[in-house]
Amino acid sequence: MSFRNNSIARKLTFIITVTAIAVLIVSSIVLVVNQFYSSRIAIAHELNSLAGVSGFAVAPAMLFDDHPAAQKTLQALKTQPDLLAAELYLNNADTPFAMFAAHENTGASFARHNAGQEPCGKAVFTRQQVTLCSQVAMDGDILGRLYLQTDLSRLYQELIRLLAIFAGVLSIVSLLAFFAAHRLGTLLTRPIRHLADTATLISHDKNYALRAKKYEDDEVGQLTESFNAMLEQIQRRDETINAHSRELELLVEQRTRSLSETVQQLSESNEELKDFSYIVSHDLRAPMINVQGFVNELGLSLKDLRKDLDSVMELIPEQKKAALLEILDDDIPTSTRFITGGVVKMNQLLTGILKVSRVGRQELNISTVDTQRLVKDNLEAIKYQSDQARAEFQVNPLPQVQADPYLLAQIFANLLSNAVKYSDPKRPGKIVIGADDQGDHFRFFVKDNGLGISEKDQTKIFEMFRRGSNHAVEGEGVGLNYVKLAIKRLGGTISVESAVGQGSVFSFTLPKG
Amino acid sequence: MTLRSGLALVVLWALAAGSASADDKDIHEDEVKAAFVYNFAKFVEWPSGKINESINLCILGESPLGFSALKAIDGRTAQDKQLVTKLLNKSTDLKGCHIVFVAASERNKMAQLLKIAHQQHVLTVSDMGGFAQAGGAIELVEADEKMRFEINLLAAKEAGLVISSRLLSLSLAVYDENNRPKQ
Repeated sequence: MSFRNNSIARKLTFIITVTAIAVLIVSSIVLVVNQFYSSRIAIAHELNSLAGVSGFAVAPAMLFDDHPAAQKTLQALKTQPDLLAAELYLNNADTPFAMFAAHENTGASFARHNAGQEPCGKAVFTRQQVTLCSQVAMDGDILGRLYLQTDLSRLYQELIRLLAIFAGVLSIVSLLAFFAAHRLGTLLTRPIRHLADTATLISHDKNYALRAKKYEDDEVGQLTESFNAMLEQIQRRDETINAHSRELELLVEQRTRSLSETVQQLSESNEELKDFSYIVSHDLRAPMINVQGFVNELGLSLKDLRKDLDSVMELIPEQKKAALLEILDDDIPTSTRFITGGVVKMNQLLTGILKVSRVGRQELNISTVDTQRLVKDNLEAIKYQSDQARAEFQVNPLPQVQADPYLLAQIFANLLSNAVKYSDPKRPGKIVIGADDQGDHFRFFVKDNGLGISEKDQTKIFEMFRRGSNHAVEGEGVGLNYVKLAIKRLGGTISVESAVGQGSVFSFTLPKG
Repeated sequence: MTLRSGLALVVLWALAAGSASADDKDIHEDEVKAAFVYNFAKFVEWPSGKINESINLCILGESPLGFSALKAIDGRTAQDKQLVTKLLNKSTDLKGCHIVFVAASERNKMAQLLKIAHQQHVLTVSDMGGFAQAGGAIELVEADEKMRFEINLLAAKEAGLVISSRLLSLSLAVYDENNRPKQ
């Protein structure tokens, strides 16, 4: 695990422990080095004092050339614990006047130094020993030199002992520092960990009612307070949102309920309406046929009446004859003509209603339909009307679709005949039939350059018995309503784009499936 | 000048102590004696006021110390004072002397001489045998072919002189209350 990803407590522990160890090591080194040098200085100093005292003691023996006395004086040095050797030389002599050796093998000869009259007075340190040369003087006369050599092993022993102590202290302090830092780190980071745990819990459970516990009044305490304040806000907001959404849900539920009721009602009434319109149109046809039949009968009766009347014409006075003939030849035929017209119109309307009501009732008979072929057949059927209207057709490539061929034929028949019917007499008609592939469905269109439909009428034309304002053109008023219902039955939609005086584009979609 | 002659003296000693031949010894014995006398001056404390400008060494009688031996120590320093050597004619007049070297020729007058010397706070030194035992302060003795000395502390005390223990420690014999000279 890298140091960065460790917990704060661990980092703290590590830093404190390492710092404590580093401080201890550095101070140990400084102390040991200092001890080493100050010990050396102390040793040199001691040696100097010893040389001074010894020199003072041995000077008379030198003065009086008393070799045994000098030797005796130097032997007193054996009480000095670390002294290895002492040698006393008279000036320029190359044999010692007196000497002392702590052990048999520690005897040293400083004759060479003395004979060479090398500088005297300074302690010379080697790794194992320190050697001091000291001049022995009396009353201003330099009598000779005293060499003292001391063993340094005790210094090293002391340094080693010091190092051992430091190592012991170091290990104890490191352990203590580690435990203290660990404890401290845990204590210090407890509020942070608590805060982090609380945050994790909240983000996991989405429970904004939780609060972090504040431990101390420090930065973390402030953070905890801010965190809690934030939680408070979130909780309040959350409650508001929840209340709103509950209201909304209720509202949606209510609306859905009332909507489904409405839909239910609507579909019921729609069903009733379909039944009603079927029944009405179907049942009204019989009396209508009766009316038609009896109007015809009335015409025949009128002809019989006229024939009979001709035979008795001489009997009728002249002035009555004219009025009678006018009733028989003009008034009655005009009335019957109007009745017949009304009946025909009524019949057409009933047929339209029947047709429309049948669209919703009929079973669909889905098969593959070649719309190219279908359109071609349709154009053949209205060839007369289109020739009359001087209309020209352009049929783009059309696809094969899965649909009810009867309904589709009716749709195209209506749209094409409308295009012809509402052509502008002032210019030759130009009608384009085409289709685009729109992915999951086809879009067919029938485009003309006819009279066009005003924007106001564009919404009305698809309703039953509603026609555009162009009443100069005949129509039963069910065609587009039928088309709309048929297309809906096939799973598509119809729309129109149009501008008065420029033409219209009727387009409808058919799903590919 | 003083230092250099001192060094020379020490060199002579080294020669005498080390590989000195019999001839060398004859030639230099008086010089060693003179040096000893000079060195004694360094370890003796006179009553205050006794010494003014110099420490005066008086030679009494037919001295064995030759001219060159005396010349070697004359003018040298002991206790920050110059050592001045004087040759005395009359044994009774020790005025101005701090140290008197008594030659063997004066043996007969010794009792009177010592009395005067002690009165005058003069350190008495001699190389005649039995000098210390006879009441002289310091006697030069030859032992094992080396120059040594004996000290009579009682005599020194009588003369009002204090002899350093450092000198006493080198002495062959020290006569005091516990070790009275056998006269």
